[in-house]
Amino acid sequence: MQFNEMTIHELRRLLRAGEVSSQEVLEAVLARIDEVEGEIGAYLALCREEAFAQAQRADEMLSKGDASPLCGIPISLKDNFTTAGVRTTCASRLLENYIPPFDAAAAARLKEAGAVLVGKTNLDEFGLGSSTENSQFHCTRNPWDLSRVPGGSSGGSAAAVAAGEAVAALGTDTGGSIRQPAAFCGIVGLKPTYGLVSRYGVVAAADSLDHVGPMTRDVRDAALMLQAIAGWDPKDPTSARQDVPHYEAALTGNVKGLVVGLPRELMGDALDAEVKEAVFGAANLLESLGARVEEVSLPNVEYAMSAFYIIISAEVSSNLARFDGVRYGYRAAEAEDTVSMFIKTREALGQEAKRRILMGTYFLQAGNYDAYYLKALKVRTLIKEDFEKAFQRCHVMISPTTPTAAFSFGHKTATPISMYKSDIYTCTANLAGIPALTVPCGYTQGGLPIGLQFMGKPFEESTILRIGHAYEQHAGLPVRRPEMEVKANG
Amino acid sequence: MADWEVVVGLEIHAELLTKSKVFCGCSTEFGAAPNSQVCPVCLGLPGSLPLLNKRAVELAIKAGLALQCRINQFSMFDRKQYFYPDLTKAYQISQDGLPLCSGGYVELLVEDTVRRIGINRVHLEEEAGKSIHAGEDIMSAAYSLLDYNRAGIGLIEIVTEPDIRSPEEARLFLEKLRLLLQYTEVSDCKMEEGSLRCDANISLRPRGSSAFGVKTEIKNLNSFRAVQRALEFEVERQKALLEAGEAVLPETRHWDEAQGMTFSMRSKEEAADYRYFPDPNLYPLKVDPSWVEAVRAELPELPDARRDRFMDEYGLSLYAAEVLTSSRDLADYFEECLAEVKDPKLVSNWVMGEVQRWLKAHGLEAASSPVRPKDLAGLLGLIQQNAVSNIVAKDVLEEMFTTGKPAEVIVEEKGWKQISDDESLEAMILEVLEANPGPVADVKAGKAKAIGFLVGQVMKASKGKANPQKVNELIRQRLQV
Amino acid sequence: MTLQELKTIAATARVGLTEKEKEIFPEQISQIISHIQALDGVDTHDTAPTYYPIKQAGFLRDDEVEPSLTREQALANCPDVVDGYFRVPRIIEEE
Repeated sequence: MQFNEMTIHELRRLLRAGEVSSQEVLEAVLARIDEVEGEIGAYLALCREEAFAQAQRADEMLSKGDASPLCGIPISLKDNFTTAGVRTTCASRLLENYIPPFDAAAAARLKEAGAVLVGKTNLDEFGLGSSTENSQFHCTRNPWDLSRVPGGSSGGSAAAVAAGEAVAALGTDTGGSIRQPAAFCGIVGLKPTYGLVSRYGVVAAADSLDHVGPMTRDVRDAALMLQAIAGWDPKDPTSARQDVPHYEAALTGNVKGLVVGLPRELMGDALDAEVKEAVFGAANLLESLGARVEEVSLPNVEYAMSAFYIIISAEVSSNLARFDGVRYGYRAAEAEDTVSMFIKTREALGQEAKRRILMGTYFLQAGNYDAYYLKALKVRTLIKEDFEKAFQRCHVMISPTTPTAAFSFGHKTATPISMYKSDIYTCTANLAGIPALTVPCGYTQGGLPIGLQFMGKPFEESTILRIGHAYEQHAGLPVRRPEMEVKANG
Repeated sequence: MADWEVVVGLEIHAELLTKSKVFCGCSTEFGAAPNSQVCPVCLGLPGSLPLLNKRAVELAIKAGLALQCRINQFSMFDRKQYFYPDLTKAYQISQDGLPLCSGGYVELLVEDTVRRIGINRVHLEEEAGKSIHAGEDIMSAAYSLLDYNRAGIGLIEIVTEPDIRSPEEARLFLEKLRLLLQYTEVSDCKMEEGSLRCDANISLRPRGSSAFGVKTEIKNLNSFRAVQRALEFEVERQKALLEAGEAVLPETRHWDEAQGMTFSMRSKEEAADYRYFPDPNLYPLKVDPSWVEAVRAELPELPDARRDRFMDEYGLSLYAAEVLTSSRDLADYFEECLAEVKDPKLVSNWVMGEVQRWLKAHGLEAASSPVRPKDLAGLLGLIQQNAVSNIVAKDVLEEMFTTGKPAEVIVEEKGWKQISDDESLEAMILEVLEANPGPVADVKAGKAKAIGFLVGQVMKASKGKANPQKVNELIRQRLQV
Repeated sequence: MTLQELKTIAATARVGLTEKEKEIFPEQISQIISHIQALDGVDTHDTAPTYYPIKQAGFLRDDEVEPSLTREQALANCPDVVDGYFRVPRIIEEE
């Protein structure tokens, strides 16, 4: 197997043993990028020079016996993490040439751990979308089927990891933006508890829903990545002052006695038959491993999407208002006054961003606030309470990550609501702030990956990682990598 | 003609005296080079997050306590959203629904009666940046320049109840408010640097009516005098409209200082909908009673309480007590001096008189007076010991201000010690009596007033150094009256 | 939602719309609004709103001055800089 296709923990062993250098791993990743990037389009920017310098430093650290598991590992970042001196665009024309003066906290922690930052990955503009088709620069293709989307909004990160263009990646998840593309691309994605990982330096879509998390090849890698980025950050006012456990130690393979809830409302009609079958199959496997699967109920979850949509739009309308062309980013030329400058500058936003801004502005208007925004926040309470109640009966819950496997380009762009429905199983965890993990659980007949979602109680990442890992180890899925018919590049 | 009652409410913004801004660590120092005190947070760079300054909360609590407010144990931060180039995030972090402090009052002394002006709320928010318009005014400028050093400095907004009943009362209220904020070191309240700003709402109604009339909001009030003048103008303008049977429009009006008039800016119908909502980045602010008590313990004695104590403890008149407590520095100055001299009347006369006169003439505050309270005590001690006369003492003080030397040294060097020994005085008195037979005859004839003239002559002969009481006594002895 | 309503909201949000967007947005937005009106049926009479996903105590920073950006850094991304200021076309409205 090529180095660029290995997991973090496999490479950790080889790097420590001196069987491979960080620079060699990076070379393998970059070679793969040269080979397939023209087809995939996972990246918005590559940091070759900086990456080689970091790899060299990592090799020095490794030769001194540095124990950090991420030391020397090539990782990519979604392009909504600010990176000092490196263009950060959020896939928006408004930030096309924006170079931030500071590093996002999660990026800084990865750097400290010795990780090598390969590049910045594509996304739906400002993280708004479920297919990465809303990138204003280019599309990203699903490595499993180039006619299909990689999911979104962290589609570039998911595709890069799946295609061997990075060993692991960071994504952000506001309503499923880590988990849905991870499921579509057949990798592992984790959205931690709200507050566990600092949001400092993440260009906000919706502050009360945004989360930072890892996208990796397996659950152990997710645990290693989480370890590096979790923990209190005084620069994030919503950061939790919470002890961070040793996540890898939780991966015991033992799930005996765990009660697994299967929420009946998440197994409903919208669900694709193949996906449904895969989830039931997973439930059976978990039972065979000694867990007890019980049906639970989340009665208000049917309202989650509407509540979610109102809250995210309201916050987005506020957060994207700062992109007015005054201090940084794109500014429309030849405006006579600031009002027309604002309007013309912001005309450059993409359709989805505009729709959310318009909707959010509408929901927050004096006459609508109570009926929409406040109502949504109350429904959010009901959904949180549903989870609290259900978690009195079980340790974790499982559900499909997405209603279907990856869909084709252009399939949902014309009707926004059908696109929003991609997030129906994932956005609940963002509303409730609870941790959720997606792990591959099978393939459709067409050979597309299917994701299984594990949801846990707040700050119990260890539990979902443990069960996710046990499932992964015993699922006996054929180890598959996307087989791409790659045309020779250049 | 109807008798109109004036109804005024004020909204005051005061910058907090914190070292760093309210949501980031940038310095709040005034006068730095443009855009040299900015960071990702106050520039609103993508990915930045606000970090609330604890001291800013404490100063806002202090202000609330000084204004007799209730300090709410639970308050929230909201986003006030509007587009303006000086507002870096296109929203201002403020407090809308649940402010930090609510329901207080300020007492004013208006023509010897105490007027209580209600305070609706005091809340915490952030400053915007500053725009500089190239050209005559905002409308004719081809472009504007932005400096964000001010963006993110902590502010309190104080909103009064519509309890103010005249333009003069508005000015008195502002003076009292400034006194309180300066006393408590919440804000330096420099209107010229923009650290205190005021908007005024005003309406008229027939006296006796309890319903409010239509109000206008007046902006661009750059001094307390401007507040009073603008309100006076607005009273007349509204009165003329109402008496002509026309309607007052609900609008925002701009005060033009040079022309002494207000002008319409925009009508309130098109007033912005700020689309407030709670800032998800800032958890509710919890202020438990023990924290409030700790802040209360930091409060100095407030001006009203101090004024009353000066009257009770030192037997000062209301007027003297009011003047002496009109600034914290002055009151401190008075009390420090009094601690040594122990004669409230003497000290208050000198502090309110000669000391204040000199300081005013030189544009100084009591705190920066070159003559310290101890120095003044030295001089007053000499007066008490009859070592200098009151008249000479004034010259000594002038000398003290200019040379910085202690009173005793000056008196010694200048030979200004008061002459009290009988022998020296007798000689001078004899000369004066001989030279003024007329007044001497008058005195002897029972015209007591003429003694004053003779005493004055002796004082003149002694260049003010003679002890006037002693001289008076000796003249009476000699003339046997 | 009518085109006129849409234009009013777009003006409030300072968002310029393309001709295409003016054509498709009213219909799309109406669909979204009718979809989310499902919430009307939820009884939230005794329910408090959830503003924050996880209950946490706020963190307060000590009042200490920290280094600012350099002026060069502060102005580096601005499209129009003059004498250390950010420059914008004339401002036609008051705050």
